[in-house]
Amino acid sequence: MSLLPILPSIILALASLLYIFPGMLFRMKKFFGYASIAVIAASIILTLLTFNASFTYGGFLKGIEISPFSQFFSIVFLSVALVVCISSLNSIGRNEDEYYFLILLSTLGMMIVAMSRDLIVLFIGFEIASLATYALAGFEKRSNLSVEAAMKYFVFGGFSSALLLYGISIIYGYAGSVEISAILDVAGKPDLYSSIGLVFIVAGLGFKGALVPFHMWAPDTYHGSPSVISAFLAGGSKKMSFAAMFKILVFMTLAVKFEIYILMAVLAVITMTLGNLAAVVQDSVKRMLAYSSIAHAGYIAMAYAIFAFSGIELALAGGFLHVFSHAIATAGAFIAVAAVGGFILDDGRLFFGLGKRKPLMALSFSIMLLSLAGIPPTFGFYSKFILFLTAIEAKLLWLAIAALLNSALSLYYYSKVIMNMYWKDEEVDFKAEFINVEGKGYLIAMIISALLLIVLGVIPSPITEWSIKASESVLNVKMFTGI
Amino acid sequence: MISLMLIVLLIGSILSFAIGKREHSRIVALVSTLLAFIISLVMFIEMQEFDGMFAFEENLKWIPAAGISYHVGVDGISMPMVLLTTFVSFLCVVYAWEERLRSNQFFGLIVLLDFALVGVFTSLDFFLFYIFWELVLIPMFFVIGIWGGPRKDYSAIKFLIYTHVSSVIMLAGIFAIFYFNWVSTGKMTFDIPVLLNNYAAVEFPTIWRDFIFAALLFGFLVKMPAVPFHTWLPDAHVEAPTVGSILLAGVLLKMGGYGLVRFLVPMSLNANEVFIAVIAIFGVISILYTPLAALPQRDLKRLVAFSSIGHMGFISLGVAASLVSGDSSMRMLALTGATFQLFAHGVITSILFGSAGVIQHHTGTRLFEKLGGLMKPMPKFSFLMVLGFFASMGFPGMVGFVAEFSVLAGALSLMPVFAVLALISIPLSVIYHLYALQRTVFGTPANPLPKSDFHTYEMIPLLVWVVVTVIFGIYPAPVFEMIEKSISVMGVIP
Repeated sequence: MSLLPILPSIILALASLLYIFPGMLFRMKKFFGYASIAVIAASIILTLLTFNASFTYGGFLKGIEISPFSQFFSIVFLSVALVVCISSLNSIGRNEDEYYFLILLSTLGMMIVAMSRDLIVLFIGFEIASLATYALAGFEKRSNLSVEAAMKYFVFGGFSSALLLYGISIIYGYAGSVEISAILDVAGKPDLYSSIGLVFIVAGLGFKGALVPFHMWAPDTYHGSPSVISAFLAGGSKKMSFAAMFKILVFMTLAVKFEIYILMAVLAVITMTLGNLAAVVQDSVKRMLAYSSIAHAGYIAMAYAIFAFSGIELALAGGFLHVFSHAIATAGAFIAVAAVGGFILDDGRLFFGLGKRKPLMALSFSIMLLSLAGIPPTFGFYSKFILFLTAIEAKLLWLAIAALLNSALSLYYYSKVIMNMYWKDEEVDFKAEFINVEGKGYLIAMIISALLLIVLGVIPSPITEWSIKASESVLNVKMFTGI
Repeated sequence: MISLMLIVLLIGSILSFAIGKREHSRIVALVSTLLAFIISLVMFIEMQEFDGMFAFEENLKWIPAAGISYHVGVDGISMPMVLLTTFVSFLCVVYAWEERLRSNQFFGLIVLLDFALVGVFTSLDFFLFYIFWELVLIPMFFVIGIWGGPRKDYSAIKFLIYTHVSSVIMLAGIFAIFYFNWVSTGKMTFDIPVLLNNYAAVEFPTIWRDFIFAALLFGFLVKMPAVPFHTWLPDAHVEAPTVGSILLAGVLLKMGGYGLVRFLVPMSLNANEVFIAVIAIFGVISILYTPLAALPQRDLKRLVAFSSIGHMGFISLGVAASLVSGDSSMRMLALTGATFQLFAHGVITSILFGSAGVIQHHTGTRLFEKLGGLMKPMPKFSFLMVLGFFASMGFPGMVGFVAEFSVLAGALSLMPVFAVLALISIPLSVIYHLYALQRTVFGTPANPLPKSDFHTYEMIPLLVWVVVTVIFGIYPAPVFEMIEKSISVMGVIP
């Protein structure tokens, strides 16, 4: 039994716990920021070193497993955390220790969700991540918007956790086991109670993932939170619930003989359409990004529908790829809002003439927006390409057409922002306190995200193979649990 | 060769952006587009001896997991298009030599557009093809948006969304081709020659075969554009700067026609026959609608923009005519003429838009009521512009005549009704061409007249385009035979 595969999570846990004590005693400006970047980078490297590992542990660690799936999602969460930490270098003036403690801790929680093998561990990871992000959303204590955002997020999040836990308890009572694969037993002989349990679990995860009937909190929370934290929420915390859904729904679909597809397909189409239509009418770029991230939740949900309908594994791989591409692009885009609009405030007009004022920043932001819109040669295009290709493979023509048209519609509001940056030169009435957003942190974080999107878009072969392995491993969980 | 050309253009584009100074960036743009033109010219000359199959092929694995490869190559259909692209782009850089507004970005975008267009015409893998196909939109969006006229926001976004929607529908069709080929042969591939060769043998459920054809056709007809889907074009043209219009009409529209010939002609072998009629109907409607729409225009550039729609209609008509059963030499003539029209119209329309740009630049307006009598102050320019309009009318001895004559001659025996309808438009189109000339070059002089003739950097491109128009009008064989060879290799026409 090797500790190496699990080392990334251990490092994160140790580092975050170590932060608390020196933070209370000494004032160490910027130390925590650099330390966190180092820790996260080390975790990424370790994960890449043990690439493609499959491990299960006994004893205390029985509830977790390392698989290509968990590693893939760990990379997603860690890269989002990395760009968020880099961009926070300049913006966090006080309580640095708490801030980075919370970021590292919630990243750890997300990774635990991806690694979990039973529902209790999944729930614990979910809660670690959630509680930390509630505090982060309200990190700008003196701003009413931020507090409101945190409050809404907390109430909705708490409610969704309750639903999730309730669902888990019903499943436990029914199957006599909390292992995720136990869902297979429950769903195999569906009756009223087991269905209620599964529906509760889906609803609980749907809240966090902001799928449409459960999306109401998302625009307000993303809009009110500090922009860097919005990046973390949209890029990281939301993707955690997709990781959980991938784990759970795969078993549900295996068990209930592919009948769940129509539910997920309709949910996906409604989510992407509503998100896109709402995004079109937004003036604020940050709110537009919030709705666009709802729309992308719809695209990701397509992956479940396609898999449930046809059992095509590539659909799952496409879903994973889209999770990755959207996580990076949306995190980078929210960081752009932070870089331009300061810690909280934003206004569409702030982007006017950015192409002249900060050309490199405008270029990176354009790349992210084009990636979100699915324009080649970005990673966002590639992930949509694979995802929509599998919709045609499954002969779900209506779903593919709906998604493609939605994607074309979304180009409208993304291109409007690009237009504002490059050829709207009207005078902007800046207030003095909002233009002193300086510092290299934002720019570096944005360049990293933009480069990742371009590089993965031009050379997508390795990541594709990895995502295919990940989809195989999520389907093979049976192997480890001995069913 | 092709990769070298693409690399030269990509590097040229990045360098033009990176170099801030106008004097340097325009030289970089000029050198890189000239190099690309020379390379394509060398390829064109070497290909005079070829047999119609793909030449200069390069095939590398790119994403094996999804059957995607980097596969480029040219044949007789794409070679003239590549030559046209590099030729027109190079002269566009010359034409824009004195551009002062954000000129490094301008030249960078022009070279990037050149890169993307060469990519579209040379890629032989659907994934690569689609990447270039979409990449074309981005520089054009910026060119219209930054250097455009008063309604540039509206036009740029309309252009982007309209053509992007058509592209994603086309993409759905490409997915379906890929998938059914995979099911029936067991091999994942996006390779265009392989997919087109297998297409006839692949078993499709009927509805999917129709869907594929309809999706691709829609994508190409919007790009061409054919009449009900043309509304983005006049707006984009009127607002775009001159060089943008030249590239838009001269090369971008050709992507649609190229798609018809490259993909839909081989796929038509067992397509629903309704589609052939649909292509012909769209073509004839475009041909007939154009003079009627162009005549009442008050803006010279808008009139020229409408003229492109009519000329592209001849391509649809020629393609449709070549697909009905009948005398194979006539079918051959119609299809070769339609393909040659891609090349011919690319050169001719560059003269027209270039002239409109010169008039705009020297008189400050393009409205007919404020123009007239330019012959006196600008004799050299007027000479070239008149030749350009005559070429566009289809004057014998110029490329437009060769192309449209071949299409009509072929169509007359194969689709007599449609051909006669198209013939009606010829006198009408003479009317609006002469009307435009009379209101600008001839007629009563308007105040104030420009003081001098056009600049050298405007003259060189116009002159070269006119010379090419005449040379290939008198001796079209180098292009014509190349196209013919590749079409006979395609095997659609026995």
